[in-house]
Amino acid sequence: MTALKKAWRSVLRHRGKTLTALAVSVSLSLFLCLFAGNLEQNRAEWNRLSDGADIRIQITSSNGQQKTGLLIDDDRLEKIEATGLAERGLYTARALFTDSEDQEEDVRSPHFNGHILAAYTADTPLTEAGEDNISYFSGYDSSLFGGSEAVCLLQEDFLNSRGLQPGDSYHVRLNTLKEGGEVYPAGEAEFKIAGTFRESGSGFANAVAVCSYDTLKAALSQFNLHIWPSSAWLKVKDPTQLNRIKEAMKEANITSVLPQAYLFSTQGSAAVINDRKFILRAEPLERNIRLLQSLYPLFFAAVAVIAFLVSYLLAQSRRDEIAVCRSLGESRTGVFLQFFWESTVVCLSGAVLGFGAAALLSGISPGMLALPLLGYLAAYLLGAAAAILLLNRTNVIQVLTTLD
Amino acid sequence: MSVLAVSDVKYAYQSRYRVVNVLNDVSCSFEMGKFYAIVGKSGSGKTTLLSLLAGLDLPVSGDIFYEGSSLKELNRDQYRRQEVSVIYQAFHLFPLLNALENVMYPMELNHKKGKEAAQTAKELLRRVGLPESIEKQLPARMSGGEQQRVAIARALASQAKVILADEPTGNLDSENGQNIVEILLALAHEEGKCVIIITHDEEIAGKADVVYTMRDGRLDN
Repeated sequence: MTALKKAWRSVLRHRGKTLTALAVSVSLSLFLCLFAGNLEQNRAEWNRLSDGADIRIQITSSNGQQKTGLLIDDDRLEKIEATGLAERGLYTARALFTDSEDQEEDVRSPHFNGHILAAYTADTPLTEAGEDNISYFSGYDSSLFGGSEAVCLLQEDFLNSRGLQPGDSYHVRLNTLKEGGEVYPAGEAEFKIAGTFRESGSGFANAVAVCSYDTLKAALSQFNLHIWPSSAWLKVKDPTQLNRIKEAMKEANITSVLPQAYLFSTQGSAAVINDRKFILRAEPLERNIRLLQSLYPLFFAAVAVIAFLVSYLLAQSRRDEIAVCRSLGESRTGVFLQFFWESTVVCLSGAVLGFGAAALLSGISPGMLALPLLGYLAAYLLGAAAAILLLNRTNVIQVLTTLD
Repeated sequence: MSVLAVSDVKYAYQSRYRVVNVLNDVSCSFEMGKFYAIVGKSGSGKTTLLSLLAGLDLPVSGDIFYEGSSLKELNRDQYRRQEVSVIYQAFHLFPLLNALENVMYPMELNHKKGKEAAQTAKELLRRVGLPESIEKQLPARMSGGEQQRVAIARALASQAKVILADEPTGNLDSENGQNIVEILLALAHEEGKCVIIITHDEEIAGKADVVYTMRDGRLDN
């Protein structure tokens, strides 16, 4: 008869001991299941919170009052983006340009009257003015704001005043803003006219040309010139990494707002993050998760210890049986396997009952409990194996002669 | 030729506070077809000698030979399964196995299959004088004599050449005790087995072919 069959027979016949061990196993597994379920529920809540959070980093003046009309160092924004933790929301920038129709092209002249070229990372400012505000030329759509192709949209009246058509090339002389707010000549640039708009959205109400942010950036970089966004906000990709993002902002010299500052800078050196609600909900969750996670290994250790004690006591009560088995020629391995299989049957039965009960009571998905179940089985059987190994070292002579 | 030979065996164990010397230079031999009695006072080392003969432990010094091979070199689990059987004063039946299952246990250890093992077990129970009605009974429902007979049947199940019995009649009344001794004598003289029995009973010792006397861990013939 195999050790497994002997074990099964023994489990069925030692009813009292089996029920005791089973009760312990059910209790341990039930408790573990509820514990694991609680942890999984906290984690699921944490994921829901993170996925649903819309957290933005709004670049502002140093006192936090001004969000537009700034002079933001684009390098700082790139540094934050490079962390991979935040992505562009909406950047805006502007440049001044003149064309062949304009008489005065010298920016230093008091009669200089350049036209505003507004650059955006999305078509939001235009669509805010109305869906039918924009008319794209064949082959173009709002995706042009995500690229750096040298295309632009022209305001309808301006287009007509220049006798241009969508699809035409448009030559301009670009001027940009330098650090300090001074207008600085850049050079000649050519854009393809990809469409028209009736009026621009907020921020650049007088813009007669609109292009993508990266288009303007590319155009200026030809002349080794920097782009200086006038407003920017970034979207936090992973709210659970807020602390890392704040570190990255510090490294990029973007600080917290100083609301009481009398003198303030419009260099876009501060930021406001709308993370308060998220933090209020996330911090307790995070604390719970950390606490439960820290208790996990202790719990498995406790399971192993309890399993060791229960198995030891139950096997100890059958020490004479072990001695008789050995005296009849059963090997140590045979004895170990028989008692180990008994523990396995009890452990598995208890785990199924315990976990089943917990899944019913708490509504936790059984799939969530697979790993804790495996951990429980491993810990229990480890404890049981240690107990049986210890008792297997029994001095048979001493036991049998004591009994006699 | 001796089936078992004990040569200058010493045995000791560590108790809590000291080393206890149990056997001191014990030498003796046992042959097939004979009934041996080992007598002596309590604590003289009789049971320890029997346990060493059963291969439950090894001597501290000296050696025990089975059919010329040292027990130190044999697989002692296999030796206990196939070559030697032990009968105890307290019977030591498995309490939750019935009579048939107790007798079948050594056969299961020797990989004898279900029906064949059951049939052999039934024959052995008949041989020791137990009726069919005892087969499904648990030891708790049997008398002392019945339990000891089941123990003898279990000892015969492995077809061992050597039967060791430690005070087999100690817990029995005189009638049952005599019946048990008769069975053991028959195993030695009629079946040719080597039967070694520990006893305090002079009458039983008187029926033995050879009597060894244990005194303070030493053996006298």
